[in-house]
Amino acid sequence: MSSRDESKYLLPQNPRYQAAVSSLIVSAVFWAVVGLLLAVQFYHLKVTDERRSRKLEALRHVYQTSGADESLAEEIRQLDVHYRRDHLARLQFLYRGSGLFVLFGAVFVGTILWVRSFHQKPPHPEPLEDRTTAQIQAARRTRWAVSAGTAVLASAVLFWSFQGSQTPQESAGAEDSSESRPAFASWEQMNQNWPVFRGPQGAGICPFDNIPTEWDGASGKNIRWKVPVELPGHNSPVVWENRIFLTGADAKRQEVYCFNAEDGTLLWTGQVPLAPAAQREEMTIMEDTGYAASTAAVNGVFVAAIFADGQVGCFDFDGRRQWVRSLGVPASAYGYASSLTVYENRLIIQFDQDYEPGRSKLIALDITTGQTLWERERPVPNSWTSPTVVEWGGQMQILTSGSPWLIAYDATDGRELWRLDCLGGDVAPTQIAAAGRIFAVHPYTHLAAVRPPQAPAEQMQAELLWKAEGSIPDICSPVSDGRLVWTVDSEGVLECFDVQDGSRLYSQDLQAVFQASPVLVGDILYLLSTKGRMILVKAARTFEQIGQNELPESFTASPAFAPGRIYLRGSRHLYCIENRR
Amino acid sequence: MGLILSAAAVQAAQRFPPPQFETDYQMPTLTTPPPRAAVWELVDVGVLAAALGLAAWLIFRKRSRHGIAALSIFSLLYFGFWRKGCICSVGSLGNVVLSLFDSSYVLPLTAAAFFLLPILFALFFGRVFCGAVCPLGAIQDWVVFRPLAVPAWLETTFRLGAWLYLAAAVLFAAVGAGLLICRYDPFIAFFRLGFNTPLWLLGLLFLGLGVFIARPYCRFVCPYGLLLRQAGRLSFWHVRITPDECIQCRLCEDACPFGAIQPPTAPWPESMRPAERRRLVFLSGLLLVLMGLGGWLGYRVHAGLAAGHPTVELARQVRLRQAGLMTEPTDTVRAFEVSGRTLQSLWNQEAAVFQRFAWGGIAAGIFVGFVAGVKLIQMSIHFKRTDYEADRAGCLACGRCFAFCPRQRIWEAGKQTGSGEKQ
Amino acid sequence: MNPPPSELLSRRRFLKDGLWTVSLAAAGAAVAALASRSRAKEWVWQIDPYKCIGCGRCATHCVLSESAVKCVHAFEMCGYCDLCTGYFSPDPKALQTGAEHQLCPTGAIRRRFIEEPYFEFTIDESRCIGCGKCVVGCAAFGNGSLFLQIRHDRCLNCNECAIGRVCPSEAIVRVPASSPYLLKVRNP
Repeated sequence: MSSRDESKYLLPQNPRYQAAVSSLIVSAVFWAVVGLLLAVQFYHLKVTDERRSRKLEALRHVYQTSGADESLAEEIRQLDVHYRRDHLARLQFLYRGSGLFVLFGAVFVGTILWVRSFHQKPPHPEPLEDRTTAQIQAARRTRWAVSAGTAVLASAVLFWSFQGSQTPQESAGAEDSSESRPAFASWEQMNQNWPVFRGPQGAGICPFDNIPTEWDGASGKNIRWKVPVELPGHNSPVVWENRIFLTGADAKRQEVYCFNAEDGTLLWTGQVPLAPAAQREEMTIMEDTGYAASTAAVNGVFVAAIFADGQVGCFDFDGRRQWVRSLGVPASAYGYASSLTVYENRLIIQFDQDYEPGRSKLIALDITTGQTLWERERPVPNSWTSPTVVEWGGQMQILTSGSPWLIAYDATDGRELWRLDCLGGDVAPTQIAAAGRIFAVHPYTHLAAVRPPQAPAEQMQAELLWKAEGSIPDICSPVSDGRLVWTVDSEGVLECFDVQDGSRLYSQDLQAVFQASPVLVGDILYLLSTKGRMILVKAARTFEQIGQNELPESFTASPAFAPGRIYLRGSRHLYCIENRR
Repeated sequence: MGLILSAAAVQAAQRFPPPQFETDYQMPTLTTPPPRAAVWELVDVGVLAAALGLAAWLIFRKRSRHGIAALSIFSLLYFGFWRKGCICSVGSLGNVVLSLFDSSYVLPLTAAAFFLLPILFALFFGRVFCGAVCPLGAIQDWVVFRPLAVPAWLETTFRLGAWLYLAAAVLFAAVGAGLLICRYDPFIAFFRLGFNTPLWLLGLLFLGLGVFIARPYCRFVCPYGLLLRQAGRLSFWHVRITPDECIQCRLCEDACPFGAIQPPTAPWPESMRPAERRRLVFLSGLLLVLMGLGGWLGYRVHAGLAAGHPTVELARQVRLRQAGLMTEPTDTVRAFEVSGRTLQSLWNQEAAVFQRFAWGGIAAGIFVGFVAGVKLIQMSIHFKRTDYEADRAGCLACGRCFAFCPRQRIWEAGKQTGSGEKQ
Repeated sequence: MNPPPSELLSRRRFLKDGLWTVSLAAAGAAVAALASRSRAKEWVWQIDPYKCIGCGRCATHCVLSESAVKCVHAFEMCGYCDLCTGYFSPDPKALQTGAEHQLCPTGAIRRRFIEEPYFEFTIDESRCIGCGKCVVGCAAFGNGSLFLQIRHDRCLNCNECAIGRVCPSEAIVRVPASSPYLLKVRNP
């Protein structure tokens, strides 16, 4: 007791204590001054400099809108330099100043501790109360306090939840009735249908069971139905559940057809207007391509089609036309033939044209409105391949072949992901993805196997694994089961390569002409000749033909598949083939 | 075509061909200064491990408050001002949660080490991280001038807030709505010497408060501290006020500014037993009720919480725009319009966010209810103490109490002569 | 009826030791899980220039008082235009370097004559504040060769990027520290 009083009494005379107190005061003053200066400069930075830059902006505007006033220009220049110098000086000051502020803060804390070291109170326990009562009370008090705290917390949260924003369902429902209908089916559903040229992901692989292996056009064996198609077209059918879509066109009309898959009845016919006559005169129409070479694309909600004159039309499943776009007649040496593909709401169009690169583009239209979502210039001349959307390491990529580039784009925003120089000539076979590789065809020259870069694709290079030479096709696309890859050229030579090293395992002349691309069904290759002969070949390292079936018509379109069924488009008819019980 | 132009706002086409220079002009190259070399991240981990080890050694072997204080200055300078407060163990909690729920985010090794090392040390030595290594703790530790005693009931109750913060921080990190702990780090503005006014004020507020209520952030806010508290409860060795034996002198009774010194207990009267047993049964039931209540409340507020998610905010603005209530599009809406994303995809994303928030809200609510219930039960279970002891959960291992213990003086004197010391 | 204190104590002891072991095992498991994912990488923040709309928040929301975001110039994409819409304010009176004609609020773009009709534009990073005005200008009428990037010699790599929180187009993304820039390139 007495010692505390004594120290209190003696302290003011202790020179060390006096030093501590005065340094405390000095450091506090310094600290406050630095803080004040900082605040002032900070105010200037936020308010004055902001005002100044607005003023300068306004002056510039006056200068731009009025006649060229030299004195005003001079004033702007001077103010610009002046303001900028001030601003930079201020930044510098603030930067150093806040360092100083922290430093003086530390000194201030130090002096406080110093002063306090003179004031240390020895411990002074209060008289001991009854511990039993105290601890019972303490426990009870804490219980009640925690209970009260929980109650307060809960009621605050409850109160807030009543204040809180309305849920989106409540607010969205009224306004967006038109938006509530989805604009596309899921990726999984896409893979369970035949939505684009060559089926899911354009791979030419049939994911369905019970596909017939025997039929005969003459006797009608296993032909479920056969219906005429009014206008010609080399495009292949696409299928969504119980609807089959294809297109046809001549010099006068361009049409989209929707057939009922059960009995082949024509559900509706949609018209896509022609491009202006003056533009159409420039069109190149050859027998091998025609007016409707491009296969339509369906995304589960809409179907879209493009014709040789660059007209794109979109319909819903009931045949109501949604929109039409005119992309302009593409300049194509053999006529435009690239098929459409679709990813969610994006309709992807590979619009390659001209003998020289320059005007070629990859275009994504919003399938709901027809508006351009994005377009990317492509450094390639005209080509006849189709874009395919594949899933790669969680990323959706659009693959495209042109001369000389194999290019992949991000399916979402169209950003180019990578490209590789491995193609040439008049490219028509469409690339496929299998076994972590991409197989692309340089017509008559080589089959290229490419390993795409692993994600993130932006920074890395694709790698050319091998090139295989042989009877490389000019029209038909390859197909692969992941171990072997097959090509068939228009002269009928079927070749089989090993995906690992590109070694040719066999080369077999099938004695037929092919324009349709082969499809792999289970372990059987389905090869459809132009004379209507479907040759079935075992998908194996050695050649083994296991059957052939005839239809009395010429065929150029690739076959389409549905569970248990094959849809074939001939020159005049659409066939549905199914095993009869 | 006007549509196409506007859609391409910043994603311009390349309108002009590359120039064909006739002079021998060399195109400059774009410089890309690299980020901090990875080896420095390892150095940070090394420094952390060394500081933790040193702290444990100082508190258990040396029993030196001065050593701890010096180490805390070093930590403040290194992890605070030199490393600008990033990376820190407190914030790494967010990274860990994020990596658990977002498969595209691989947890960096440093973040993992910063998260795990202090907990590992706490399992062995108690909260030595809080005492001398955490920069957030260190800066507060230096302004403890006039600590007021916060009664235990108030302290326990206020800590509920920290649990709520922990639940919210985990929820937000899990649904990808941001790292709350980092966002509201009160001292980060000091460490970076930046000019973010609200954060400066928050920091000054905590320091000002810290003059009277010692280390308020650590005791009533810090979510990571809550994890360390639990590890501290289990820790293998504990900080002891006395180097050898407690002589019941009561001199340390008020030594701890954090209220972490617990006096010996008196025996509980036998007559209370039946009532206490009944209370325990009641509280166990209440625990379930509180968990249910928490889950319900969590579900109720999930929509409000989700408003903090960028996707939900975007959807709200787009909806306004659709309804014609937003004449001039905000940057957010403009960015959405040029991105080519469909409305449907946005609604789908928004719905997914709401769903995540709904489940997360329920889980967080149940968790907070559980914590409150367990706290009540804890208050009804009695632990027996014969000595003055540091509270295993609350002790921040700062070593302030050593100086108050007369046995420490004897021990220090004895150390010179080489007599024994205790762990 | 009531267990003797020693038994109570040992039961508590047992519980505690059990929990301790479990916690330690959990921590060990966490360490093992991490070690197995040893490809774990460091992340840094970067702006995806193809998402950026040039709103200007990079200049104001960085925790650094002078933003870590700067404009960079992909020279290979640049058209070297005389009338650079990233450099000049709209409809400039004259194609001169005076402040009255410039778009950049800090005059951070340097314009240099190369040869008829080409001009080179370089960024003075010490002046650039990352406001993105030139980015928008260049994209609107030019090749889009000017774009914003987080400069890693400046970026503190905050755990939660303060700009990323307010970015309207969510263009600020985590990228591996091994490839810390997202640069624009010319589509040939």
